[in-house]
Amino acid sequence: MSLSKTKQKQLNGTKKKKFKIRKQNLQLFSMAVPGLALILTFCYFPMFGIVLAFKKFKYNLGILGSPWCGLDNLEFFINSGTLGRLLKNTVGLNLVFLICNTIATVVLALLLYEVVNRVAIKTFQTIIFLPFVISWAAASYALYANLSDINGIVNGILTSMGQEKTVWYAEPEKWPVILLICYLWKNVGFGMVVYYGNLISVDKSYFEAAQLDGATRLQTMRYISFPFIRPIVTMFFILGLGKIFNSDFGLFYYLTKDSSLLYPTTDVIDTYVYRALRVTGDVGMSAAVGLCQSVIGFFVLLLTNRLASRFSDGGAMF
Amino acid sequence: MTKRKVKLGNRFIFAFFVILCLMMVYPFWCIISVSLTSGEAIAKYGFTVIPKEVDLAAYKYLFDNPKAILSAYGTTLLVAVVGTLIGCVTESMYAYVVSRLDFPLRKLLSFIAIFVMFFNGGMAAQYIVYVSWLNLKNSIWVLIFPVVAGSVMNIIIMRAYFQQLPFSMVESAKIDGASEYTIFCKLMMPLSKPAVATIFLTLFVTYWNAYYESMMYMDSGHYTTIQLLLQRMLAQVEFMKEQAAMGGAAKILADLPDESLRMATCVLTVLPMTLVFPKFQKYFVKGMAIGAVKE
Repeated sequence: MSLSKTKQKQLNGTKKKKFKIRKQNLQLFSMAVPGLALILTFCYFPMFGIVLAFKKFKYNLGILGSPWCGLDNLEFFINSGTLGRLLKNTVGLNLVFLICNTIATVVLALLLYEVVNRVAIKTFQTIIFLPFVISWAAASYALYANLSDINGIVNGILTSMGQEKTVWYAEPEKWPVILLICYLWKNVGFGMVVYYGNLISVDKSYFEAAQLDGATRLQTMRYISFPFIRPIVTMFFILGLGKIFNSDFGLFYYLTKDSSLLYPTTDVIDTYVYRALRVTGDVGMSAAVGLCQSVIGFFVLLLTNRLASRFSDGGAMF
Repeated sequence: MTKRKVKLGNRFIFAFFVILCLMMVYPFWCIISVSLTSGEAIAKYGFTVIPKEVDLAAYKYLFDNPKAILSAYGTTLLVAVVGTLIGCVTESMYAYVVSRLDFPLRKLLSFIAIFVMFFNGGMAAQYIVYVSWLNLKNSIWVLIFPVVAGSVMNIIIMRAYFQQLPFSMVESAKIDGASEYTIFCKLMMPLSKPAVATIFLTLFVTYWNAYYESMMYMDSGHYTTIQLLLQRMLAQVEFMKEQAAMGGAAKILADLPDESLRMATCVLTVLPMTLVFPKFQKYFVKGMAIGAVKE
């Protein structure tokens, strides 16, 4: 009797406690609601638009009312012959960008760590970081000032050296390099500053010990500094690999001034989809291409993450 | 011997960074230089790295006719301020909830936020849904909300920051009878100032440089952000040049905003960023450093 009573009491207690927790959870949950609502409305809700990939979209019929057409959109895209070019440009350029950027940022961070003067370090960091907060639209003005065929600075130098002017915006084979330079200009500072931030948190005694043992500067970089930042470098690299099918739209659209003569080497999936959507108005096809891009990109990300967790400890994202 | 070598190496590295910095500044210098060159000098010599004849006519013209650039500035500032505030509040609250290890739905909510970093329906799906279901064409909200919803990275940064604060504080506050809102506003937020500063600045820069939404959803005559203004100015001149070349309409060409004027506009849009944000770069870095701490 007394035992069951205490049990009853205990039960009551837990019930009350549970209720209390629930009330508190409700309060907590209510704090997440605004953010959740935004994410659901503006990120998840648009995913319903994926059905457009399998529909022949007509504006007057709406998304649901438009007739189904199976895989016609995708077939049309594949038969249009642009697939090879887009894949080559997207994956090729982004991969080159990613690899060059990773190497450049790591090297810069390691070199910056060797600079002793504090004022100099700060100045270098600030200046190299600066382009990161500049938009591609503004950067395209600077590029235009250099490459404009009539007035451009580069053409001015070329003519003063007795060479002929180049119509830069009409010569596709030069643009992978131009875009690479612009990409590095804008992004190198961010990576460098992040990696450098990681480096300065490393215990100084490692470096002192290495110096006592007679390690050269290159050896300390290679065997002490670099291993410390390797996990975060790997993480950024994987993030980049996972987004290899998504290009930095502004880079490819603004800097080339959307010049159709440059499409052979600068047209990527994103710019192509944009044009199909806004210029030619082929909604179905651009949805189909976008869907493929997202799905393939997602699997690439999962794959690279698996590889990272296998080959380097601490390098995986999730 | 080795000491000398080290010194030499140091000098070499120093010189390398100086040259690199000059290269980084060069594009800025080009824009400024052209904006300071008079129209005649451009016609004669083209763009030059050092202006042949310094001339403030372009800036004078902009200050006398500031309508276009002022309205673009106004729109951008409004969007940036409202969006950044909404973003900071909603994102940090969301992050606080998912940072609480005793909250049962925390894993689900985390997943919901992280998943959109890696998967989306694509540009077309989003565009059509925004336009035909959410009715966002030409609405100012399309400049505000998608950016907040898209910056889930901020949630991860805030979550990591909250998680490293001692949980016992929250518990003792709860025992003292504080509600979750009180704990969040009076305890967690004041302790998280660096993280809040980080996401505040990130959001502000994102808004200032955002071009995608305005380009996609704004027809001409509606809200024009400064990035859209820049893009239109460059594209318009190209278009009109082509027209003029085809039709031989020299008059249109003469009426165009000349090169130095466009560059001057560009300088004015870039200026606030270059003046203010390098000072805050440590916050960006701090944010990334916190965000990189895994669960």
